[in-house]
Order: sequence, then structure tokens, then C-alpha cells
Amino acid sequence: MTSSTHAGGGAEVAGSEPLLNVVGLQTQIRSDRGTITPVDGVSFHIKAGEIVALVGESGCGKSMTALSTMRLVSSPVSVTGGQVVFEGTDLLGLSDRQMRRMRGGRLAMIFQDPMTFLNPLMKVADQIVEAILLHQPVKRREAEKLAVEALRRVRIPAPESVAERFPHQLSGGMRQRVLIAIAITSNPSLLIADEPTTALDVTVQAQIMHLLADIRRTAGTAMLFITHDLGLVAEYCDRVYVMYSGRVVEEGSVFDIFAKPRHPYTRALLRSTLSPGTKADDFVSIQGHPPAAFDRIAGCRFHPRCPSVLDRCRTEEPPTRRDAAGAAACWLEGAA
Amino acid sequence: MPLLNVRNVAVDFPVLVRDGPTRRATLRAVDDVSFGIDENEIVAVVGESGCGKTTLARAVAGLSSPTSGSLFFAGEDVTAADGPSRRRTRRDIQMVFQDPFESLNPRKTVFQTLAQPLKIQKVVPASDLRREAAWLLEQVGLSPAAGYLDRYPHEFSGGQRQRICIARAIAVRPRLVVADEAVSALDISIRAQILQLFRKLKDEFSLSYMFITHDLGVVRSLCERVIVMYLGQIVEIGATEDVFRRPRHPYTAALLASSPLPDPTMRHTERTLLQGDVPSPISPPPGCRFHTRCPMVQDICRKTEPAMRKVGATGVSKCHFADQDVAWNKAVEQA
Repeated sequence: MTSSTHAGGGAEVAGSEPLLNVVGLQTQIRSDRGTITPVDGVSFHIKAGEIVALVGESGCGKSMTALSTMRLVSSPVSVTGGQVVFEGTDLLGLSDRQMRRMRGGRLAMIFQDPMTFLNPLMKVADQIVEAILLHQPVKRREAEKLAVEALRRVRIPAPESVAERFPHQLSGGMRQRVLIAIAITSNPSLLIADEPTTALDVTVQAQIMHLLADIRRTAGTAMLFITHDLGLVAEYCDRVYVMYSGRVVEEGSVFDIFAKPRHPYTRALLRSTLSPGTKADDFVSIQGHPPAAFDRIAGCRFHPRCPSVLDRCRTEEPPTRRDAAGAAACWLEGAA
Repeated sequence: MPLLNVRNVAVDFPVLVRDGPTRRATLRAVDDVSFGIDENEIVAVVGESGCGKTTLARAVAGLSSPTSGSLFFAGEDVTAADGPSRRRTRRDIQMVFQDPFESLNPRKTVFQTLAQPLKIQKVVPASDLRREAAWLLEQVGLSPAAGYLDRYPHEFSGGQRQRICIARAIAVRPRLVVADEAVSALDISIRAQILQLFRKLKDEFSLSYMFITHDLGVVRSLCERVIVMYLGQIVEIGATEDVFRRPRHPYTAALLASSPLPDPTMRHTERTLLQGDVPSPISPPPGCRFHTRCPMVQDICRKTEPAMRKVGATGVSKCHFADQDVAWNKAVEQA
């Protein structure tokens, strides 16, 4: 793989192909006002059984990266460049039909608002059965049993009775469990989770995150976890990619990112994050606001907000410097 | 004497229940709630969706009337007030809402938005409206104000809009600002900016805040005291540092244990996960309302509603076992 694309970073994954390898992914949206590029040369990889976070503020392109990886974008949005290699296959080269078989099979996705992805007119059981019949060579009777089993796996109490209910009769947390149940029926090797707990209360969020961590532990399912919540990243993820304005600005292990952040944006994000451990006056805010879709920023895209800005940051885009610990796209890297 | 004194306030809503034949029922969204907020104090109200925190905020701000109980502001019963005294209370208590995209009139310029409360409450003479509006914008960090006054809400980012909403709230020189999830819709970097703005304005305008939030990070970094609500009732009140170091109600402990910490070396290893969802407020559980999810539940909790008892120097807890220790994260307690 990757020694060609990640110069010098091949050591840790030597000899094992990553499960998912995304290289130089570019996604554009055409509009009357011109073309914007919400995902602009994004590269990341996920190894089998790993939980990887894609973290950033609204508009940074993290959700669009996930949707592009799943090829869930349609006009006026299109994937315009890069490779998405999953289990050895470039997903961008598949036909629509082949891609449909991939989705919900080896590769599954869950979303922030489960109600949008559940059919309000179908019983829970029928929606799970539909997913099972699409991907597994079983009869309906057998699929119905598997559906109840799937609800049990996501720890829904009284799964037989919940299976007979409609989505509107369930709480937000239960709906997200149903969506997870559908996603894991075919034992995917990779689950993409786009802000799966953002709409939930904290106590329910903890239950769902616990469930996802359990699925990884018992089934070895790798996860790409899209979030803006650094607390969830610290608590549940192994590796982290930080995105800003359509680019990955830093990557590293969760311990390195939180202990020794290298990019000024990562540092600023950590210092402005509030948690139950943040005492008064213990946080510093970042000046300004994230760039809007049509803003074109020369040089490093973070430079207008960066406390350590250099002259060259205003004109030249920084390269991604990589070492054994991780990577950061910043002119200060190696300058010190 | 506290600036705001809430005594045994309850707020009911009529609802239709459709769990069989449709029937009428009463949902008691806020149930027998009492607390005070002092002059220049920041008090947080926390809890999960449906706990009644927004209903309580709206009652305090005068946007809805309590079904029973009293609200005293600066010693005066404002639930009974009418006419000129009601107008004065409206001026004293202002509100900032969660969604700055929905709480500004899209057809009004920033100047029109700010001029309206100034005119209604006769804060400045008509000839000074523009100068006053510009000054307000500068107080909330939008300067040079001249460039902003004649623009419309859609020309601003979420953080800037929330600054405009805050300028509108402080325009009439209130003494208490009720902020309902005022930073929840904002990005991390913007959230910290707006919290710092709230803190700055508190000093400059001698404000008190009632800060409604579900985000314990916001509570600890901004608020001096915290009120924890569950299913319409207050379950714990205490000084923020006391509550975070040693919660005296198992629900508070569970909330803390459920909130992830942005530090992988402090992962909650033995966290207490609450089972299930919040029960329906239409028919809350008997005894202690939290007993169906409480990890420490005893027989007495299922039958007898606990009294509010004093804990520590200044706190109260509505738990039969308020004197017992509830650990939530050793790392944080020692930090």
C-alpha cells in the first residue's frame, strides 16, 4: 500500500493492507455561483478492527468525506478525484449495481438522525428482514429469526415486541439501536458512523457508544467515526484525523493528538473544548470563524485564525510532513 | 435576598394520550421547583431532554405562566404583577435562545432588531437610537458597528447572529438574562468565544444568568452554581465545584460519568451506565422518580418520595442516600 502515498509511514502497517485506504479524495459541488470543493485531497486509512475518528467543525468536509467514501453523493455533488480502496477494491471504479451490493454488506453506515433512515410505514422487523434478504442467502422465516437476534445483539430489551413496532413508537436511542442492528446484520468489516449520538442525551449517548465499542470488541468491526466531539474521540477512538476546510491538517494516535497536538488548529480546538473537567478560565477560544463554502483562502487555510502565523503561511500551502508518530500540514513542522 | 426567588413553581400542559383509546391527561412539566439566583450570579440548570428545564426558563422569563407557585423578582411577586410593574419585569429579565437562525426576524436589519426593544422600553431618545445600537454591537464584539447595522441576519454566521441576539437582550439593561442552550448550536471554537462574551458582559452590565444547558462542560467553565433537574423536579443544587467533585445525587453522578472527557488518559474505566430512557413525564414513576434507572436503588426508593435534604455547606439533594458517596471518575475528583 501506502508507502508510496505515505512517505516514511509504512513501518507500522508493513505487510498488512489497510482495510480501507482513501487517497487524495476530492469531492465537488457545482452551483450557479461556481464550483466548491468541500473535500479537497483527503487521504486516510483504517486498519481491520480499528476505530478511527474524523473530527472537525461544521463545514470542514468530514460528513462529505464519509458520504463520498460510501459513494452516497449525487448531482450536483460528485466525487472528482482520488481512490477509495476497500478490501482491495477501488470503490470509485465499481458500477452502481456492484456498489449497492457493497453498501450494507461488508461496508455499512449509520447516521445522526435515525428517523430519516427508517421507513415510518414499516415495522422494525420488516426493515431488518429487508436488509438481511438483500445480502444473505436465507429464507424469509430464517431472516425473521435473524432480525430478532440482531435486535438482541444491540441490547434492545424485549426484542420480539420491539420488532413488531413502528419507528415512531421508539425513543431516539432505540431508533439508533435499530439502525445499528440493520447495519451489523451482514457482519460488515467497516462501519461508518456519522455523528451517531449527536441528537441523543448524554446518558443515552454513553449507552450507544458503549454498544459500538462492544461490537468492535466482539465482532472486530472497524469504524470510521465522524464527530465534532473531542470527548468522544478521546474516550473511544484509536487514531484521529483532524479536518479543516476540506483538508486533513493532522493525524496521529489518540494519545499523541491529545498529549502533543502538532497543528495549531488541533491545539486551538483542544484548548477551546469544554468538558466536565474544564474549570473556569481553563479554556481559550479561537478567533474568527471557520471559512464559509465560497471563501478562497491562499496558503494555509487556517492562517487567518492561526496564533502562530508566519509570512509564508499566507501564500504557500504547507506540505504534510510525516513521521513515525503521525502527520501534520503546517509550516512550523520541522521549522523549529 | 436573592434577585430571583422561585417558590414551589409548577407548570402543567394539557396533553392527549394515545396509548389506547385517546384520553386527556395533564403533563406536569415542572413540578414543585424552588430555588434562588443572587445578584451577579451565574446559575446553570442542567438535565436531559424532557426534564422541564426549558419550561422553567420560559416561566422565569414570563413567556408562560406557572400553574401554581410564585416567582419573586427583587422581592416583588411577578406572577401577580400587571400593567407598569409587568413592563418593568419584562425589562429586568431578558432571554437568549438556542437557535440564532430562528430567533432573529429575517426581514429586519440589525438596527431594526436592536431599535425595537430600545423604543418600547424608552431606553434612549429616538435621536440616539442609531448611536445606541452601534454601541451595543461593539459591546458584543461586532465592530466597527457601522458596517453591521444595516445588514440582514442571513449575512451573518451563527456565532455573529448569537452576538446580535445577546446585544438585543442587553439593550434594555436587564438584571437577569435567561440563556436557553444559548451555545449548544455553535461550533466548538465559536462556543468558547460566546461563553467568554457572556462572562465579560456579566461584569460590565452587572448581570445574573440563568444558564439552561445539557452540556456539563459549559456548566463547569462558566457557572457558579448548578441545579440538576430530572423529570420536572430538582434533584440536586450545589456549588459547581462541589457538585463536580462530589455529586450528591446518583443522577448527577450518572450525568457526569456519561459525559466524555477530552483526555484519553482519563477514560472512564468503570463507568456507571444508566439503563433505558427517561420515563414518560405523563405518568412519572412513584417514589423517587429516578428509581427506574438508579444503579443504587433500594426498596424505599420505589415507595417513598425522598425529601430535599441539605448536603455539604450549601447544597441540597433529593435522594434517600444523599449522605453516601457516589463516585463518578476518580481521575477528575483528584485533578
